Amino acid sequence: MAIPQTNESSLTQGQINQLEKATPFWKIIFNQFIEHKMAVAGSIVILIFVIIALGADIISSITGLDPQKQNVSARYLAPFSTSEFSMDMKENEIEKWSEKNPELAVELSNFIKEKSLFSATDGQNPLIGFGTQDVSVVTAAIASENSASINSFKELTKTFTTKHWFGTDEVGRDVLIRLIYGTRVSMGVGVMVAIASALIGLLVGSVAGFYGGRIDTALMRITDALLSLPLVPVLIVLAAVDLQKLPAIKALMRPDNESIVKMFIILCFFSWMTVARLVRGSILSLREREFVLAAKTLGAKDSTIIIKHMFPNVIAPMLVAISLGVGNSILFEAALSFLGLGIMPPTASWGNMLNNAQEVIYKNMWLTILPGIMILLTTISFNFVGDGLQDAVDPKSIRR
Amino acid sequence: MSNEIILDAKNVKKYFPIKKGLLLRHVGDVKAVDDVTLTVRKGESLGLVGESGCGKSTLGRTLIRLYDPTAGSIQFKGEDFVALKGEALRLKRKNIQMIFQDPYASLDPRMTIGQILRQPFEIHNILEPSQRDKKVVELLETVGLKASHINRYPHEFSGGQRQRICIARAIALEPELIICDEPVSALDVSIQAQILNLLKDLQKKFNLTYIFISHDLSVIEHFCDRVAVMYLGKIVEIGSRDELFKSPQHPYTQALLAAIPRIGEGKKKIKKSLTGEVPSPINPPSGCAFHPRCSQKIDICSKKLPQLAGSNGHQKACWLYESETP
Ligand SMILES: Nc1ncnc2c1ncn2[C@@H]1O[C@H](COP(=O)(O)OP(=O)(O)OP(=O)(O)O)[C@@H](O)[C@H]1O
Ligand SMILES: [Mg+2]
Repeated sequence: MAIPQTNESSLTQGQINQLEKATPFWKIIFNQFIEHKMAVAGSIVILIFVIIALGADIISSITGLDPQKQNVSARYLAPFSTSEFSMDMKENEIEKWSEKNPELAVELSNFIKEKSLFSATDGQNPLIGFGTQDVSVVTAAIASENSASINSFKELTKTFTTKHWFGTDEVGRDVLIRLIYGTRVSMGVGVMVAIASALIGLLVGSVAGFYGGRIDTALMRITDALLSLPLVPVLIVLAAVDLQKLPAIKALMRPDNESIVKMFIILCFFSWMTVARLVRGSILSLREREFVLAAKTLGAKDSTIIIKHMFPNVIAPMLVAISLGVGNSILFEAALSFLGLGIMPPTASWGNMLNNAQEVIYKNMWLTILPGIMILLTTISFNFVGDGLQDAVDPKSIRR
Repeated sequence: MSNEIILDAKNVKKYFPIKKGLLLRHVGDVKAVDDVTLTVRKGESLGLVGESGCGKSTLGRTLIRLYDPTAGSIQFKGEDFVALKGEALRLKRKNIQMIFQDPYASLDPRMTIGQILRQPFEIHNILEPSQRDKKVVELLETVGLKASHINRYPHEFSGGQRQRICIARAIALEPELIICDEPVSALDVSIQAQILNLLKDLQKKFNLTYIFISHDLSVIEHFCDRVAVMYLGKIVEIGSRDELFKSPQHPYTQALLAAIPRIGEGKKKIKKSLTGEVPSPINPPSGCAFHPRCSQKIDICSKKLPQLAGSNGHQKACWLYESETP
């Protein structure tokens, strides 16, 4: 085809290349976003929580804290206190130690008898009798001594005490490490649900928007029906369903993550509708927008129109919906777990930590406050991020 | 202007079905364009005028195949344009372009002007990619913008500048026919004149043909060679600008013209101006659709539909001018 006979350009190719470069669109959005101070604060909180959630195992191995380890002699400890193993647990540990290091054990027993550090009654193992005393007594007695056996024993006695920054719960588990593992579960479920339901919503919404007609009506009636269900009672009923009976889902589950998978499926099932409506609405309006019509009259293929014009204009509101959805999903997960229908103990989640704490809300308030703060912080952060994104991606609000 | 006919539309109809209920039963039609016959000659500007909702945009969009006509034939340069489908239609589209009313909605807010104007060449794979930028700059300069605008986003431009960008996009593929759907009604009056002059210059330069949709008769008078007046999906009068403005014949055209304020004429024509609402295109009045608002209606008007008739290319659909009675 002939090239249109417009004026010869006054610029050479070189000069054109030197023109001020376009700011990429994501950068414009980013610049807008960082103007929203609360959204930035929210992103920082989320980032910290994500790092904590991903690093939970590392934190656990460094601090030696174990989210499942119970200690009935140290229930409901206040924050910043130190717990000590019970006599039984100490005895267990010492026996294990002696089995592993028989020579050291003999040496240490002799040492105890020699120095008469402990007067054993008949038939009592002096080593165990000595070691199961209060840790402070034991360390004081051998503090000045220095030999292979004693050093090894000192190491062992050190593990008998644990510092609990946030106290302990009703079975003596450390609250801090449970909150950290709870972050992983609660945020994991929240984010995954938000993303998965956004994808379902994108699929349903775009099918409805593109094809229209009967398909659209059918899909939207289903969406409306689901939207109009009273969510909490239905969730409670569904949470009581035993998904193990469904063979397809059974393959996905191990006993330890069963309740998580179940939670994920249930929440996904009830949270795709908003995105579906949003996407359908955007596509319906985009289809009639003049720039899409203009692309069509230029001869653009449907695929070009979808990829170049529809997708970028739908993805932005979707991102907003996802970030707002995370907050909602976390809240729902917490609510269900609080009711005892969500994530099952011993797996920690913020919701079931709250559930466990409800009986002692007056006596041990921190047990309810701490998970509550975590839920509040994440939900608010995600909402602020969603808000910031909403402002940032709206082309109308774009300034320079 | 030659006598070559570039677009020939015969009995074109565009009905939008109204569907109701869960099963989407078909309960009626919006008869947005109802039996329009129209020819456009190469190099002319044909004005399309009428009140809001009379189907001007729908007719324009049907002629350019954004909508599939419900019935009728459209020939573009002697070739059947309605029968074209899929890839063939896609490739043919570059010969007819459209400029839309709202310059704010006509440009994708997420694309730079360069990306927008490169698109026509990318779609039809014209020019080496390295040559396209140069071409885009030429286009920008042709429509009175600067090369430095190439890497900016639409929100950085005023309405008039955006309309210039839309015009640049419309002429990029060197079309023969451009349908302008109220291209200046969203703009300030001072900018309107600039855009109209630009369109006129481009017409001379590239030998363009325009279908110019507007509800503003003074713009039409300034811009068009021929004018078609639409009422409720039908053309009620069509003729050369001079004839139509000097001696309007259809009572609707007369009423429209009477509504234009003219210097020195005072208020004496106001009595002929339009009263009443535009009837619904779903259930148009029987006979001549204009009869409920017509000040000169006679018996037959509500019974039988008048056909376009007349000589010298000045035609009207009105019983007042029919010699024979049925
Ligand atoms: N996609 C559609 N679906 C259903 N009805 C439509 C559609 N598009 C237009 N209509 C109807 O068709 C009729 C003609 O509309 P159209 O937009 O063509 O009018 P117009 O003359 O361009 O008006 P305006 O001057 O306001 O732009 C109107 O009654 C309108 O409601
Ligand atoms: Mg219109």
